[in-house]
Amino acid sequence: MLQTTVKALISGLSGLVFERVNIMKRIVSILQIIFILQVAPVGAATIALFPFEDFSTNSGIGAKLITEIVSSQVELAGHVVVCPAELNDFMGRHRIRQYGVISSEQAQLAQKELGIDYILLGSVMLKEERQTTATASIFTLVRAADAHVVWSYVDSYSLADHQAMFNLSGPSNLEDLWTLLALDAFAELPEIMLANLLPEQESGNIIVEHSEPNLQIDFAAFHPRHVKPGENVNCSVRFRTLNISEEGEPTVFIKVGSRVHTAQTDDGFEYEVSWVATEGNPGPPFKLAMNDPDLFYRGMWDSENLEAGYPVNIVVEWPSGRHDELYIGSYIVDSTPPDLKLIASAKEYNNRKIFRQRLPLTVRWGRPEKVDRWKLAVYDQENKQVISTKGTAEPPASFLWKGTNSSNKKAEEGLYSVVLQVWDLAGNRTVSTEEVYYLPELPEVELTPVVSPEDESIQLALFLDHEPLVPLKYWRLEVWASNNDLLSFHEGTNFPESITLAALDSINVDDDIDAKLMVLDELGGEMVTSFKGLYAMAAALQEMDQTQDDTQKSSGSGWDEGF
Amino acid sequence: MVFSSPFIALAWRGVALTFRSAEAQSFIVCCTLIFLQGCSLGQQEPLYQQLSETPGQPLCRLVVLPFANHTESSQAGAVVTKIFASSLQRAGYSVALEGNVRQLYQQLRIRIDDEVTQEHYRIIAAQLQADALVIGKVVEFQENVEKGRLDPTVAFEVGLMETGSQRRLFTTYFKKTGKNYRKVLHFGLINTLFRLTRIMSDDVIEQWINKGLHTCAPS
Repeated sequence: MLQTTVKALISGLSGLVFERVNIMKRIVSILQIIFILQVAPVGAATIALFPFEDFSTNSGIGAKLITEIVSSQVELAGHVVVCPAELNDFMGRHRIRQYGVISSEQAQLAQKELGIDYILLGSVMLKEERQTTATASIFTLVRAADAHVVWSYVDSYSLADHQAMFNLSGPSNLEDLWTLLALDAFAELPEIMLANLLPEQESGNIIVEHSEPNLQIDFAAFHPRHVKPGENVNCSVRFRTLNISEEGEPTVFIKVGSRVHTAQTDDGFEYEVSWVATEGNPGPPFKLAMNDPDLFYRGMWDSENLEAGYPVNIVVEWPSGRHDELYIGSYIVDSTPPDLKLIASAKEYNNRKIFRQRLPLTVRWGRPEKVDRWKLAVYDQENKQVISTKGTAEPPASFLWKGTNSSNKKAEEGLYSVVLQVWDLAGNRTVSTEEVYYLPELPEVELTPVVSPEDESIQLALFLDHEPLVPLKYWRLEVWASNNDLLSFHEGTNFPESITLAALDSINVDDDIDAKLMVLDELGGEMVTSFKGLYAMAAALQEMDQTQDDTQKSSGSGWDEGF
Repeated sequence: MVFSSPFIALAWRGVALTFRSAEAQSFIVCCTLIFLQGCSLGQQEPLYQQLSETPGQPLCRLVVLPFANHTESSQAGAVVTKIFASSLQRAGYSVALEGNVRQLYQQLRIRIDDEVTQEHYRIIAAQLQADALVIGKVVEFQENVEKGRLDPTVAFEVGLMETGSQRRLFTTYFKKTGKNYRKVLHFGLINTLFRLTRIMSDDVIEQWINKGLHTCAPS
């Protein structure tokens, strides 16, 4: 009956709407005339129109208008709308700052304090830009007693919707659109409110079977979430106060896996209790603190020895005998260090990894695992740290050491340990070490020229100043005249015993020959050495040898004499 | 405007006189309906993927988690979340209050755009006593102005996770513009993002129900 009346009213009003007058006032007055003649429905409900969330930039206008319209409609249908001032007080008291949403706890508080049956929530949007003028809204009717959504509505109107149809006269501005939208949205609202009243509410005796969770947790936290076997786990839980104050002090348990940690409540803030397994076997003690004023529960227990994930539930037993159980999270007992290995990519010579300029290091995982932190460091033979880097979470898949120290200077040649340490979330540590030899330079090459007295040819002897750690790969000797003519070249993989350079036609001090020696080793290191004036070098060496011989002779005679 | 032309009016009068019988007029009406229907046949269905077998039992209580927002519109996630929850409610599901979900996000220190872990899903499901979680993201949410008219475009991906088994049941990707719903001339055109999102949400939920997702609504 009511629905039919409202629909008839809407169609009758359409003429007024299209006349582009201040239709809202007309609608309200006509509604009043019609409904004054009607008898208010039996079992009228009370509704709180919470402020609407406004998605538009020029907020407030649409929300205010639509609030007025819906107020008129539900009031005229015999329902009661909570006074805005009273609602504002309620929102302020309970710090409800977010418009358009409400929690079940807040809904139930509103039912209790404001005596309401329903809450209307809304989100609205309006846009006023010539032909793209549009309105949109999402409305939700929540039954306060059980915080159950009984009705919802989403729609949107734009001027384009109406002007497209053969250019008939239609709504011309935002206010017209809002009115149309509100009339459409709330035509059936009064009947919906009646239809969804709970039987107990109608009789005035409110006993509600909550559809929302009885046990509402305000705060729950674990520390740590990953533990080694036997380490302490701390858990803090705070409940909301709403139902607890009504039903009396509950007994709180913490159930970990199949074990139930129980508490005695007779001696204050912190006390020791023992847990019992479901089989009835007593286990090690744990502490549970209860701070009554805040209803703040804190539990601490030793973690299990077996590696696994352990679900934690809060169990609450109320004086009425009701039993609530709520999952609040889980923790992992972990005794296995991360399974990974550091691998240095360097060539091996005599079971030793040797690198020259760059040492690529790769982290290879056996079993992927979440990581808390890591540290990579290089230590010398005296176990002194040369360079290091560290980070949180997973280490990079690869590193590169350029053979420098923490001052970014080249480290000395020698044996180093590259150590990667990784800690998992439970604190288990893995250490992976690679021994590497840093060889920044090739050995020095020495060249000895000897001039043959017979034919003035030169015998060249090449040798390294010490035995190389890395074999030579290639060498090349070029002999150059002073006029930049290449006289000859010699090459190979190993140094020969000697190289003979044929005598030149004209040799004098001003017209000497030079040599340039290039050596490559298997690590790709290259060394180029120039030797200027081989004849002069030979002469100098001969002179030096002569001097040494003379010295030996003179000292030898002295020895003999003394002997 | 078109019908005001004397020539067309005359032609129309001629057609009416020709098909004066009831059968002929019915034939014309049927042809018109077929034409209008034909215009809407090009509409595409949501791209649906079934990931697990649909549970035999109805999923009564659903929790709609805030949709991740991958668009440039700052409100897209919030709007689509609300509209999808509203569509589910109208389809007969009991939907947890948005305020409860937000409170739990705050408690678990999850921000809307954060990645939600399996552990979070378990806690949310347990604390809000949900049979299934609705998880989604908005990919497009924009209005283009063409010749003074708005042409909205919405694209979102939405999935359903059964909380008991932690299995993803469905995932659906759906993209539409206001023009996609045009039937003939301007009929059927959708000019606003909200209405387009509502229709798309209704379409997705209808598809899920057709694929075997039962509601708890009394028949």
